[in-house]
Amino acid sequence: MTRNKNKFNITPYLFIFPVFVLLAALVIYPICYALYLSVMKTNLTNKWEFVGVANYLSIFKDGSMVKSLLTTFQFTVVVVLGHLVLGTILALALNKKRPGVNAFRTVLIIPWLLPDVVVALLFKWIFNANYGVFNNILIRLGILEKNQAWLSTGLAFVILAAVCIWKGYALIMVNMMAGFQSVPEDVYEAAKLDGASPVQTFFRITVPMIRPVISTAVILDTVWWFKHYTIIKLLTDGGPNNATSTVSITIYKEAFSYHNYGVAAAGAGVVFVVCWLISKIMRRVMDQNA
Amino acid sequence: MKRKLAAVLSVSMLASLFSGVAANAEEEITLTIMSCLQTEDEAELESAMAEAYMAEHPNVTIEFISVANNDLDAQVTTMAASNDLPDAFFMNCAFMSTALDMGIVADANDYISDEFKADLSEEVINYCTLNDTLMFIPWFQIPVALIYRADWLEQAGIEKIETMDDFREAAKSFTEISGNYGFSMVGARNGSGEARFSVYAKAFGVDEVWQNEDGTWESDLTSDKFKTALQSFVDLDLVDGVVPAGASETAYQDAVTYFANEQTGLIISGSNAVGAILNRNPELAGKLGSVPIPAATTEEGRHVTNLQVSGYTITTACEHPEEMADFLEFMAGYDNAVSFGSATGRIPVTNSALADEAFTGSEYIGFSECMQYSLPYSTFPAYAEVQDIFGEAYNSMLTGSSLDDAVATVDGRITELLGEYNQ
Amino acid sequence: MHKKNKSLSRHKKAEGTLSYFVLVLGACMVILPVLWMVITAVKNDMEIYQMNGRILPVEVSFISFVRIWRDYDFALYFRNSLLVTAAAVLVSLIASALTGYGATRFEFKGKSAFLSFILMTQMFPSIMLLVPFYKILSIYGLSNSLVGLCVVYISFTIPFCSWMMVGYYRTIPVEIDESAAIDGASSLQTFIRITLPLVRPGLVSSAIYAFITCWNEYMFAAILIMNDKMKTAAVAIAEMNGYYRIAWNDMMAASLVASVPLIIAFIFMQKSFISGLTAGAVK
Repeated sequence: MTRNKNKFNITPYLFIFPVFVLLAALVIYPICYALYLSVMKTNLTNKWEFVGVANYLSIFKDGSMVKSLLTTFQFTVVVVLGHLVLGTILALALNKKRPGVNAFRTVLIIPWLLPDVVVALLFKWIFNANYGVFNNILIRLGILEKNQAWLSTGLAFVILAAVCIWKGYALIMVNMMAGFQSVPEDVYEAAKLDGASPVQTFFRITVPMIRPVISTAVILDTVWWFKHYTIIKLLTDGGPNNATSTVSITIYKEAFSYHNYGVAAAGAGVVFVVCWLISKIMRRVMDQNA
Repeated sequence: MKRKLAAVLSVSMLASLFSGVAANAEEEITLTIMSCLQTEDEAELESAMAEAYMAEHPNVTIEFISVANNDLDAQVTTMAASNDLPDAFFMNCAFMSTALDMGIVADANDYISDEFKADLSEEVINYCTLNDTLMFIPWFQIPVALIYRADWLEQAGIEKIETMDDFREAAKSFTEISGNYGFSMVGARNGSGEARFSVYAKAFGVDEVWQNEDGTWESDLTSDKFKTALQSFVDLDLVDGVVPAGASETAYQDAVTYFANEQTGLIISGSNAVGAILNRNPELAGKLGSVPIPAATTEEGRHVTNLQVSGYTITTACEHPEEMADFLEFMAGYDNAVSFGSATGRIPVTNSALADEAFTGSEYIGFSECMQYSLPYSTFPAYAEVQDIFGEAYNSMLTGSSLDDAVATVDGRITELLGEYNQ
Repeated sequence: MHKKNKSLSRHKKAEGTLSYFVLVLGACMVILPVLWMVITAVKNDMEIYQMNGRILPVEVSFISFVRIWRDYDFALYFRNSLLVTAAAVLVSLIASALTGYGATRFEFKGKSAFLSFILMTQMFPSIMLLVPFYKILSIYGLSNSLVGLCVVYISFTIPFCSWMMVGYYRTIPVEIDESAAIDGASSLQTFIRITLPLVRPGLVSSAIYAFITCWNEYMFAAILIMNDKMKTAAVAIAEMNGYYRIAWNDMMAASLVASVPLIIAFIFMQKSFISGLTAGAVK
């Protein structure tokens, strides 16, 4: 047995081989390519000029990227917290076997099933200034006198965040449900016998036990929404007044509107590092509480 | 292994060589064309032209690659970076200088026929030419002018919209007549809004960016005339209230919708809006009029237009540029251009087709008239970013920024940008 | 004793009522926007564009539903979406289950590095990956093909699926497969026969996640696929929001139809989802 341990064992590597190869082949090269771009001034075809860290410097010199990073932080915090709160509450409500729960579960999963494109356009349509049902209802109720362009007001950020919460809470909800199921029933029984209140049981027993199952979901949820593009692009396109201009919007513009691929790639590199730091910190925090 | 591969390769090469000799007379040719009209109303018309051409030339196969206009530049860039370009792609004028710089544009001067070229006006040729390269074979143009409801204008008792003051007057009257609004402003920041505002600002004498004698780039975006233009533009919404709610997020298709549904009666647009409006509301036929963009009543006020000539760029990857050019000229030829133009408002580029009676009606008169005021497209390499700069300016003012703040941002961005190119 | 039971059941009742209250609220939040989608889809072109017009349609019109089959080739787009999605889901499941087993059952050099590597692949903004992805695919001759798209999707879904599977495998006691090993089963046999049935909830959740991700992906499908015959449903819907025109009712109709397969798939999979969850490994 001891001898076995010292010997190189190839079995585990065989198990992880498929994922490793697929990711190495598909993701490493693109990331390296983008990092390479980030130190170049290039048009991707016939001009390749090495500029060192100039692209990175220009990002920090030019306030717009820094500002959009801050906006992205705000956006991500609001959206992920929203997912957590809404997802947990709904998962708790769905957790017990009661009549009709299956139907509710199917309904509650719908936003997650809808394509980002559809979600964005649907809410754009609902909040449309002239034909939107939102204005229409408010006017009928007498709350509003004149059509409002909601997505051009200070509320645009709030609406955008709400839509993104609506779209994404189900992922957390499903993972929470699976997590709740993984907690053995007798643990609850024991807690009940000890006289713990449901709230106490939830925070002292359930949360620590499901943490391994949901922590990755939460970290990835954070990272994904940090980088999110489609809904923001279609719903507000960074407006009004750059209030919803997140890094992804800025990077896309830099690359495909201004054709500054180097600067865009540098921006992407910064996001990469930021996301990595966020995940490190979150992992640390979650492990600490365990 | 290697030897085997080489053997197979050489056999297949030989085979292709022979087949090449045999089929020389009627070589099978496939032309791939990246089109962003294939996702729009015009798809069928364009496909029909290709069908007709293929029927005449059985050895030619034309394949359209459809891509949404918003993704077009990204798509072309992506393919160029992988040496995987199609034979031709639709050219957005904002992409011209970038594409030329990337070395993916074949000079169409080498392939265009003399006959066809002779039928083009000087303005059109100038528009398509960048650094002596004919960037694409012109197919249609959508010059920017002002479209208005002729019946409402009469009702309002206004004779003609000649100046910006007349325009404002008309917008106010139309707001009363429609019971909704007067002017379909495109205030979104998506390229299309900027193109319209650009013409509006130019009517105040603004020249966004130009090169002086010693080659330095300069800009009017920091000038007083730009401020006047900017303020007068956003005041249509903020002060006069003649613009439908949500101007800052109104895209072209929304603006057309307002007009077609008789909720506004004025729109600054390319001639294709005529086609789009009539498509959506055929009852408006005969009620549309057009005039060149009104001149500002300031000292430097002028009529102006952007011809927005469009067509397909033959790429350097195209192996049959002559055949491609022949097909592109076929699409722009008299018969096709007249029927395509009258159905879509994308009017012909050739003088002969333009003279057709299909384009002499009141809805097109302003478009033909404005062509004399055409300015060539900017040659500034980062013009797309310049557009974004003034786009941000009007857009932010529509959502509450003050003129001073907006202009300060413009100032900072344009100075930095020009600095980069003046080094 | 008797009294305590009574208060407990009252407590349970209150909890039940609260649950239903939350669920109804949540359901309204979901259904109202979707309802507006349905209403828009059955309105005719004129009614859509009335300023502050009627909320309910004057007449129910199914013209949009007719148009999406007649004027657009949605049958084909659905087929494409389904092919790409099914293949990507299958590959992701197999690969990620293997990883989950390998990473929890063995100690080996570079394990934690490998796991963070999987996560790190998720942290690069995908927009900047468009160009290099296209480059790779064209090197292998897979650009503009459904296979190429499928490969890209696999790289999107594998990281999260792998992590989910690692999480699930962690909840399953190693003793179970140790006892199998004593019976003489090889690692692969243990993996397939003993542990796969136990991680079914994880597999189903991963499958649902992967399915949704692939079915709904837009940006890469729009750029990597150029042939009209290979377009996916999400791209076709997005293209209805054209540069020159926007057909709200057609788009809403298409979106509804595109969501139906997902909802059906979910209802169908929900059964095994639930049974998988409740029959879960950890007792």
